[in-house]
This record gives sequence, C-alpha cells and structure tokens, in this order.
Amino acid sequence: MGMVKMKHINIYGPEQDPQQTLEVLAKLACFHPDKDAERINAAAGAAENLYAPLLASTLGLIKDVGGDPALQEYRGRFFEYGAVKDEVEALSAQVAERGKRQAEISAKLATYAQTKTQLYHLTGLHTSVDEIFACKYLKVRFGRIPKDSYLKLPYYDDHSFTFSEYDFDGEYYWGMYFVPESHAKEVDDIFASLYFERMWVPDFVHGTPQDALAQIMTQESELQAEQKELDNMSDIAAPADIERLREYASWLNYEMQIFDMRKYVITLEHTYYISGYVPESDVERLKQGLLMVHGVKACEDDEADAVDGAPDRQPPVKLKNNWFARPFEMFITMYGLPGYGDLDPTGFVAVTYALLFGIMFGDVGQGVLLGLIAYFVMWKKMHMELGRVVARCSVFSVIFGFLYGSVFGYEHVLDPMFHALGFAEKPLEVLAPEGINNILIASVVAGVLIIVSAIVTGIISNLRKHIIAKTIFSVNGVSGLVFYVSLIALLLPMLGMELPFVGSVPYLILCIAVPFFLMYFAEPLSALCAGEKPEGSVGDILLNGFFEMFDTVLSFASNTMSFLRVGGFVLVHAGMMTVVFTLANMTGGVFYVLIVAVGNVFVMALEALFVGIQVLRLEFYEIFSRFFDANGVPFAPLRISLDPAADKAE
Amino acid sequence: MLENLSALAIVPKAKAIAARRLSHGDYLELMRKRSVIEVTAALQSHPYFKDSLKGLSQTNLHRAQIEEALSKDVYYKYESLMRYSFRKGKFGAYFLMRSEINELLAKLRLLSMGFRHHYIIQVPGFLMPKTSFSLLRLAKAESAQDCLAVVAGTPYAKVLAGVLPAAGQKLDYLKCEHAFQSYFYTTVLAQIDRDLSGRSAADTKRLFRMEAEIYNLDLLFRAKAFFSPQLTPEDLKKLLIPVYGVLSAKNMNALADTRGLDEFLKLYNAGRAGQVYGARSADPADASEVSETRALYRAAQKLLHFSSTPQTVLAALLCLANLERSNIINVIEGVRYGLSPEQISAFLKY
Repeated sequence: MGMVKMKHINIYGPEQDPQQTLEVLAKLACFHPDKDAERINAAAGAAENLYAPLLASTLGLIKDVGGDPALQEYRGRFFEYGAVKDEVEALSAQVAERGKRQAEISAKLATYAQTKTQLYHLTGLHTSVDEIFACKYLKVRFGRIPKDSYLKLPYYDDHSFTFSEYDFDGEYYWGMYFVPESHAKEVDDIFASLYFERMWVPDFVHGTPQDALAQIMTQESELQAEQKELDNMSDIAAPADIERLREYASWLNYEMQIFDMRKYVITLEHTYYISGYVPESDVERLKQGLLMVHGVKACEDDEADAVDGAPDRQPPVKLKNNWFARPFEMFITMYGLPGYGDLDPTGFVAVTYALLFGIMFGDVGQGVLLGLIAYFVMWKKMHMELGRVVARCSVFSVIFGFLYGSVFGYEHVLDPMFHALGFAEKPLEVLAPEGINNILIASVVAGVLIIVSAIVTGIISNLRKHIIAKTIFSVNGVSGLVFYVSLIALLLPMLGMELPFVGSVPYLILCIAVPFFLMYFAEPLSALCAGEKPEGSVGDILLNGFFEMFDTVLSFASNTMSFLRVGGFVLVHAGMMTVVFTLANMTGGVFYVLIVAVGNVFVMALEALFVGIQVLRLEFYEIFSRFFDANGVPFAPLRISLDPAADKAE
Repeated sequence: MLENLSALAIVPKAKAIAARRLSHGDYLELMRKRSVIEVTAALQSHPYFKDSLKGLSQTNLHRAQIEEALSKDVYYKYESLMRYSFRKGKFGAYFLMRSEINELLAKLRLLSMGFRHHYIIQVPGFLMPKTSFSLLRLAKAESAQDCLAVVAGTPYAKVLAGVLPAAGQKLDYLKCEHAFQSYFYTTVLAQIDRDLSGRSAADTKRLFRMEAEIYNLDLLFRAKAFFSPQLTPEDLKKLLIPVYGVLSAKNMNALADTRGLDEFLKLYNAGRAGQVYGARSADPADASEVSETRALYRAAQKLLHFSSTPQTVLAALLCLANLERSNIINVIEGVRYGLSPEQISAFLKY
C-alpha cells in the first residue's frame, strides 16, 4: 500500500516543433508535465488554438443533423484543416438556412395559436368579420375589458356605442363595440380609460370566427407537416456524411489537445524542452517510445526527485494499493491526496471503514443481498466504484451478522448452528437490556483504539518527513498521544479495571501534566528547537495556549464520544427490524411475507445509506484530522481525452 | 357581530394571512426592479397577492389598475375574514364604511375642483355591488346636491347635509372631509365601546385614535408649512377630528395655535408627539409623515401579534394591509421614476 514512485524526466528535441514528441507522450499516457513551462508560456502569450472553434462547430453540426456528438477514439487518419473547415462551413450554412425556415414556421404557428385563443372567445359571434370590417360608417373594435371596468359601462349609456360580450374568462369580458366613425375617437378614449385591450384581427381571418378558426387550423396542420419534414435532416447529411463528420470531430479533438499540450513545452532557438514526472515502472517504456522520434533525448533528473523540494515542485501522487483497498481510493481522492512521500491512508481507511460498516450493518442475509446488489448491479452494470466499496463492506456485514445471529432480521434462526458448535446461545444479543451498555462501551473503546491508531500513523508520517518538533509537541504527536491515553486510563476503574500506577501523583505529573504543558507551549518550543525566537509576547503565548488547549481537550472528548454512534446504529438496525416484525406479526399469511420482505428492503436501503455516510464522517472528521495533510498533487498524465470539458472541470 | 364562536376563527386566519406579507427582503427585491411591469410580475407570483392580481395584463398595464388591484386585494382579505362572522354590520362594517366615505370624499373633492365627470375613472369596480349607495349614480352626480340625493337613506345623508354649501357658494372640501372623518372615527369608537370592553376595547381604540391623531398632525403640519396665513389657528381647530390618542385635546390645540412652521416644529419635536412619532423637519425632501405612519405600523403589528380578540386582530390586519398597499404604490412610483432603493426606502412605512 502506498504510492507509485516517480522519476523526473527531461526531454529535449532538436527542432522547434514538438508535435511528434507530444503525440508519443499522449499515446503513452504516463508523463505528468511540470507546470513551470505553462506559467512561462502564459506570460509570453499563447498561440491561438485553431482546432477548438472548428471542433465546436463540427460537434454542433453533428447534433443539428441528428448525429451523436459524443467523441470517439481517434483512429489515426489525417485530414487537411482547410478542407474540413470548408465542408463543415458549407453544411452549417445549409443547416442554418433550414433553421431559418423552421423559425419562420414557428413564429407563424405562434401567431396562429394566439389568434385562435382570441377567436375562441368570439365564437358567439355568428357574423362574418369581413362584413363587420366592411361597414363604412361604423367602426368596430374587438378586444377584452376587465370585469371591474365592465361594471362601469352603464355610466356611458348616453354615449354612441354598443358593446356586445361573447365570453367571460373569469377576469375579462371578451367582445366588441361598434361606434359611429364620427364618435370613434371619443369612445376609443372612454374604453382606453376602462383598460379595454384591443385585439387586432389578422388580415388572414375571414368569415365568421368559427370559419376563421377552421381555416387557421387547416393552415396550422400544413405548417406542422412542413415543420416535421424540415426536422428530418437526412437530405442535408446522410448517415455516411454524419459518420465522416464524427471522424473529423475525433481528429480535431486529437489535434486540439495535442496543440494545447504545447503550453508545457519551452521552445528555444533550435531546441525544445519539456520536463515532468513518470512512474518509475514506465520510464523504460517512455524511452523506448521516444526512440521513434528522431533526435529526441530523455534523461532522468535525480535532484528533482527530492521530496523536500519546493512545495510547488512536489512530484504528483498516484496511489497504489492492493485489491482490497483500491476501491477506497475514491474516499481519499474526495478528501484530497496525501503529499508525495507521505503515508497513504487508503489501507487504514479500507480496514476501518469496512469494519465499522460491518459492525453497524450486521446481518447475514442483508449483508449477502447488499453485496450481490453492490457487485452485480452497481459495479458490473452501472460501473460505479462505490459498488466495489459496498461489496467489500458487505463481507464484514455478514461476519458481524453471524456474531449478532441475525439473518434478515430473524434473531434466532442461527441458534441451532451455535448449539451445534457448542455455544449455549449466540455470541451477542443486541437488544438484550444487559447488553446495550456493553455495546455502547465497546463502541467508545473501538473509537479510542481508532483514534490512537490515527495519532500513531501521524507520528510515523512526521518522523518519515523528519519533522521532529511537531512529532513530539503537537496535539497529534507523542505529547497528545500520551495525554489522551493517560486520560482514558483514568476512566478504566469505571469498567472495573484497576491498574496500580494509574491515578498516582507521579502518573498525573508525568502522563498528564507534562504532556499538557508540552502541548500548551508547542509553538514556542518548536520555534526554540528550530533555533528561532518564539513569536508574540508572553501574554499572547499564554492566551493562545489556553484557547488551543481548551479546543484540544474538547475535541478529544467529542471525537471519542462521536464513536457512540457506532453502537447506536447497531441498536437502530436491530430496533428497526423489530418494528418490521411487530407489524408483520399483526397480520398473517401473504401479508406477513410481504411486510417482512418490504421491511427488509426498506431497512437495508435506509441503513446502508445512513451507515455509509456516518462512517465516512467518522473517517474524515475524527480520523483524518489526526494525521492527514491533503496537500498532494494528483498524477495527471498527458493523454487524449474523449471529454475534454469534463476533464478541465475536474 | 363577532360574538359567535365562529368569529374566533378570524384570529388564526388573520394571523395566517399576515404571515404571508411582504418581508423586508421582498421589498428590497421589488425596489431593485427596473420597470412597473417587473414589479407587477413579482407581485403576481407572490403568495400574498396571487389571487387578487392575477387579472392584470403583463403587456398592457396602467398604474391606476395596479392601485385598484391592490385595493381589491385588501378588500378580498376583509371579505375572507368576514365569512367567519354570521352577523353582518356592527364592528366589521367599519371597513365598508371607511371605503364608502373615501369614495364620497373623492367625488366631493373632484366636484370642489370643478371636475364633474372624472370620478368614474377611479370608481373601484369591485366595490360597486357592495356599497350602500350606488357608485354609478355618484359618478353621474354633477353637484353636491346630487350627491346628497345619491346617499339619501344612508347615515351619510345627514353628515353631507350638514356641510352642503348654500346656494351659489362653493363647496368647502375641507369641511366635508372633517365632517366625514369625524363621523367615521366617532362611530367606530362608539361601536368598539358597545362590542368590546377592558383591554381589548382599549387596544382596538388605540389603533383608531392613532390614525385620527396622525391625520390631525399631518393636517396641522401641511397647514403651517403651506397655508399659514390663510388658515388661522381657529380655522385649524375646526378642522381637527375630535379624537385624541397620545396627545390630549389641549396639546393638539396648542400645536394648532402655533404661529408658523418653525414654532410648530419646535413644540412638536419637544413634546409627546416627537417622542412617540419621531421628529419632523421643515426639509421638503424629508417625508416626515412616514415616521408617524411607521409608529402606526408598529402599533398594529404588535396588536396583531399579541391580541387574541377577533375585532382587534381584524382591525390590525386591515391597517397593516392598507399600509402595505401604500408601500407598494410608493415602490411602484419610485421604480417608475428611476429612484434608487435607498431613496424609495425613505418612503416606506414599516
């Protein structure tokens, strides 16, 4: 368990064009470039990547003609940029033309829809609109008036107009008013003051509103049919054309990314230079691969392998773990990678996570079912890494399920097996009143052991990095460990364990007071060990120390008590199954089976989710905070991606 | 009216309505809008207004329509609460009485300015079926005498008859306003004394007394600021509503007796009025009456929160609803004239 050893490689090329070299590096997918060149080239101004906009246009065109815009693997075929650009632009123009016609049709259909809405309100009118508009001396206005204003119309009884309503939609009266031409302005003003909204009947509306509606619906169908024809793009791009466009896209994607990689290359007058990290096991493969490029040399650089180099020149981190721990790398990556050379906590996480999960989700039947679902559905079918994690955890669920004697919530179905093995009863009766306290105490004990392991891990990690002062004086160092373990030992008499030395004055001085003060003055002591003057006045040091130690003692207590949830979830799991069986026992026959089955599924789903989240919380908050500095740089080799946007976001 | 048990439902219902009022954050959002249409769209999607404003058109919108819709909203809330009371009239009728008086005064104001046919534009259509006299007939009235004929048979006839000008004389609008406002407040306060007692009566009356007092103080301020030589202290005392809140009749009369705005402000700010309603200044940009109305807002809010008497809660809610209506109209005007949120905030009463 740990991380892959990296070697720093410098690559030199004889000319100015690093294209071939970059193509080889991308194909090998094992070279992580240094960022120095990127900064230098960014300051100098990068050349424009012409492939990117053409790729975007091509993908857009593929989508418009109904093809699948997902990029495919580049098969090595070369195309001429100018020819591709011309073809894509020509097809895009055809698509744009069609789009224009589609937009026209959509706008027309929207107008028809609006007109129909208005005409529906006028279906009470049985006169042709042509006749109405043909009136020479009368003006007519179609529209709607708010209901509150409609009530005011009687005020204008002595004015020369007639309003006829044909519909009321709850808020507005739809209708029309006739007015003599000579009074049109006055009456229009009156209706405007009543918030009358005039409706303009389109020129294409003829006959009665019913006839007009029928006409519009016919024209609407014709346009919709034309729209449907236009949606079919096969006359612009046949399947063979779409396939060719997809090949262009994959070539453009390839060229775009190779061009983009130039930002890692420093070009001088007659040479170019690119440096980066390669896994030690891939160095020979890289050198062999570069032999294909004329004049290119690759040499290892021992100095840059040093772990204690500048912080931004640290080698990248690629985790290497065994079969069991490998899926748990996703949790480490989620939190942040360890620095190169630091301890890889993946193995620790794998064991603690699976163990705690198993303790909190202990049931033989549910464990087996969970494992099967996780492996075959989540991993095999849906390719979720979490499936592999849950499958491993389910093994521990089964183990602890045997310990609890629980199979799908049946607490006594394994009793014959225990009797056959010579046991009077199953090892652990979860819901027995006398056992509950033991479960909770055991949870806290497990928590103490895990916290101690985490602190020890942190001590080892600091020793490897030769950070001696922190190892001794820090809260998560030797002082903190001694202090914590000594405090815990003081509580042992509560569990009936008497140790002779514990509680004595020398014990209190050596194991509690001394570590306490070492931690209190950790910062000034570390400064003195480094030959520097401690920062701040005496008062500042005392005050800071007070608050630091207050926080320390509190966090030790809270981190320890946090593990009570482990025991809590053991009880919750058993309790929930008790509820399921209580409900099932109230019925009988088929319903009993149904309730037990559905109850099991429900408890499994809920418990698996909650337990998974709670254990992750324990890992991140109670455990990682003790030793894990997530300052590692992920190993990101040069390679051609089929989803560059997603990779960039990551 | 509200003695029956179902009226007790008014309290939780009113508080539920009040809980959906615009918050400070909602007002800020409205003030940041760039047009009246955006403000209206925002109000239409707010749960407090969605029923009453849904008829407003997004494309063809007039400011007066929004104001009428907001008035309709207040009325709808009143109606929704009155559903729980089986006995019409008595205290709950004060809302309709105030609405009727406001319409009557609007018509009289227009008549006093010589506008005989303009009232129809501002007639609230939603009120037309509800009033005790015909608003349409009122719109058609061309003189104060015609108005008297319209309100014949209602209590307003007696009040209007008392202020009608003699033949050939101009209608004195201020006199009309004084007469009707005095009638309104004395009637409501008397009704409260009949319907309620003790703390509930005192709390409910305090709200109306405060309203009347604010009216009086505002009247005095405007008179001193803009009409000082024309309106003498004696004239002003005749225009004051004879209803007093935190200021006694003596204090109010003392304010009326001041000579000029400076003296008025000095006495106002140094006295109980300044303590309760906040200081006023002579600066025309200072919307001084806002601080008085804010005091009313706080009083109504407190009553709504702590009271469990249906009448008190009803009065408090409707008071707040009217203030909210006024706030929204200020926001709309501010947005229309391109004022910044800070400038608009100065006019809001909360």
